[in-house]
Amino acid sequence: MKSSRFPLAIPLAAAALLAIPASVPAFALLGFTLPLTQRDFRVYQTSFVDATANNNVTPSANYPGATGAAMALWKAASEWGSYRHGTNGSGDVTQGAIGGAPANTAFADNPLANFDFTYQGVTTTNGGSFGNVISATQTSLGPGVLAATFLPGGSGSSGWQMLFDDPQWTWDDGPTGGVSGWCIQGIGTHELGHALGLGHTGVAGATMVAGAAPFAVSLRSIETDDGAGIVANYVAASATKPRITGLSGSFSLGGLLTITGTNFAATGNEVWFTSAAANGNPKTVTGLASANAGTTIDVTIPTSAPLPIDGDLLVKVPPGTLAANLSNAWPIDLTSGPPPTLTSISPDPAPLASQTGTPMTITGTDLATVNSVAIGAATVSGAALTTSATQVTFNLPNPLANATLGPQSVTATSPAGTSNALTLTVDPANPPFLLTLTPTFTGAMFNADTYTAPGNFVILCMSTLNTPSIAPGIVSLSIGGNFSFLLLFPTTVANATQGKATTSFVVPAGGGGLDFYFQAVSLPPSVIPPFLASNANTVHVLF
Amino acid sequence: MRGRTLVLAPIALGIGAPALLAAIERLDLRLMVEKADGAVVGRIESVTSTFHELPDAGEHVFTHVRVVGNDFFTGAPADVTVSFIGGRHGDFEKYCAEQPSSAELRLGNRVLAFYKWTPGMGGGEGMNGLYASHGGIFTVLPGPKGDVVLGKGDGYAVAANTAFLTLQAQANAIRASLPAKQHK
Repeated sequence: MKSSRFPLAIPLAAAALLAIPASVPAFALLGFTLPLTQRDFRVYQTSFVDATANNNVTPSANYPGATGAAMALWKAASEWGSYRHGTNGSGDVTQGAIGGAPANTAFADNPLANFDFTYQGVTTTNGGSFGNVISATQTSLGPGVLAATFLPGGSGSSGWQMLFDDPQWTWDDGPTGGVSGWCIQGIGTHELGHALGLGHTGVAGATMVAGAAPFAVSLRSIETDDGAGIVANYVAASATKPRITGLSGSFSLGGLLTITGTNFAATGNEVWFTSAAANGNPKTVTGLASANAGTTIDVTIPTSAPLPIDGDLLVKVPPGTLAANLSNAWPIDLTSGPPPTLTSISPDPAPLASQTGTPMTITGTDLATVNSVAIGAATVSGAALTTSATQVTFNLPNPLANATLGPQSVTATSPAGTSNALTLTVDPANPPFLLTLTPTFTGAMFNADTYTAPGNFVILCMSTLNTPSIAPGIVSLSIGGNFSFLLLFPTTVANATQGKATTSFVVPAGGGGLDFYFQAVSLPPSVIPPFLASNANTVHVLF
Repeated sequence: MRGRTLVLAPIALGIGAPALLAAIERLDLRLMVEKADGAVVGRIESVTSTFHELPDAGEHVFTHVRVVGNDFFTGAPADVTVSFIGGRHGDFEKYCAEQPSSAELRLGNRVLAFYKWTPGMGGGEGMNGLYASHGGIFTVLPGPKGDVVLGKGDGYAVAANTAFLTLQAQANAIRASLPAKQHK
């Protein structure tokens, strides 16, 4: 029926066309709102390759840790925030204040809507269709198109993507009003308006107006019509919306931070940090109580991966289903604190390799963010370390690769720097340790590494029988079937640097599909028994 | 809210709402004539799409609109396909906030479309890009005194509803004033 009405409508429309007075359509809504889980965004900063796109390296107090295009886009997102960003909304010389109501200044902070973007740092990917990543593309988006926001399925509620056209335009990160290319912050403010659900307006001077005149600096500051649009989509910031007004206390990872504001819940508050997470999600700390009638929250800044980084901090109050449950975004400049200080390491000495593994403990101060421990030329890092403010524990790698025997320097490194050095004496393996063997195949070169005291003779034993062979007072093996089938390989001598002896041979034919059991025996130069045996290992010959 | 009522007026008349979605270059007729390679006025014969995996931007859809009619400037017969980023390809939809509205792209619609050959657009050799995406296509309707091109407001190449012959004359006058090397 639609098609039959269409021709009739045309003459009516056409007759009226030239008579219609110029209309001024106000803000338009795209028909969706972003849930709390899709208000995060990241910036693929290095995709902006123009020389002017990342040459602003001057720190800005309200945008800690950010430079260039990332800072410009963070400012753009803050412009749509519910209140001024940070103490006074500073950061843009072309307007009174970034964030909150359009007319806000350094002295006035009126609220905008129940909406805040959450800056989640920089990334090195375009994030795909749903990643909420802002990047520049080297593929033209089409002539005359500056940048585009993509909404999979027509809605950003499951994620969105934003692209700036690099081949066609030169981009500039500001921060002054006198830019030499298209203003990333201005166009970013406009595009982020799309991402949050706004279409275009016909109100001249508004950020969401259709076409941008060079170089779009004026788009940095939203106008009354833009403000009306976001309020229409998300409702005006409610009187009960949690609000952050300041931070105090420790800004070090592991330190106690105090958040000051209003409308925090008595219990069950959640604090969101900008995170180093690869997925763009914030680092959250849950189950926090407030004090002083809902005006302060104490939170220990997390030290576990992914670590919080410089960025924004927000508070979400339960139940978490309404937009009004999330506070404004407040900048936080994390300090790395002093470098770690080490006081002791145990056990000392520790073996280079052992049959049971060796748990190690380092004690000291400022150890919460230690991310690697160096023992001579060996390094233990990442998830292998368990840290607290005063302790680092880990299992000594078996063997301690690259390490040499004797006194070794031990240091710990955190984002704040490297500690003082302790000395750990690395002893030879005792009893001997046979490194885990891997499956092999007929004709392959096979290596078996045994760790023991330097200069000791090592005899590698092999059997198809996994039952003991014991000669009291001389040797005790767990393989060999009471010496009924035991093949001994030629003796090798453990080297001086690690006490490592390597036995090598070509796997002979005839063993395909079978399991072979290995154990090493270490003989001191005196050749006086008893002779210590290593752990036993199994090797499967594939074919 | 008064403004929103005005936006709905064209829909009530059955001519489709203007796209009103753009982060595009601000244009007027002179700039558009200067920057576009050409323009075609005619009926939309087909609307197709292709799927592209762009090396640094992921999965995208490009929509291709074939317009059959006449060259806007010379009146010579023309059959031109113009393309823009965004749209649906099979079950995959990736809406671009700058793309023309579906109402503008109905088969049989008469449109005026400005285009420019854009190397690399879509990741391949290039495409005849619809200039400024939704900002480069305008609906043409018959009127008692001849065809009328519907304007899209301030900042667009056709800002206000304009008689086609008037617009064509203005565009040709602009074109004649340009250095010859800018004609393509």
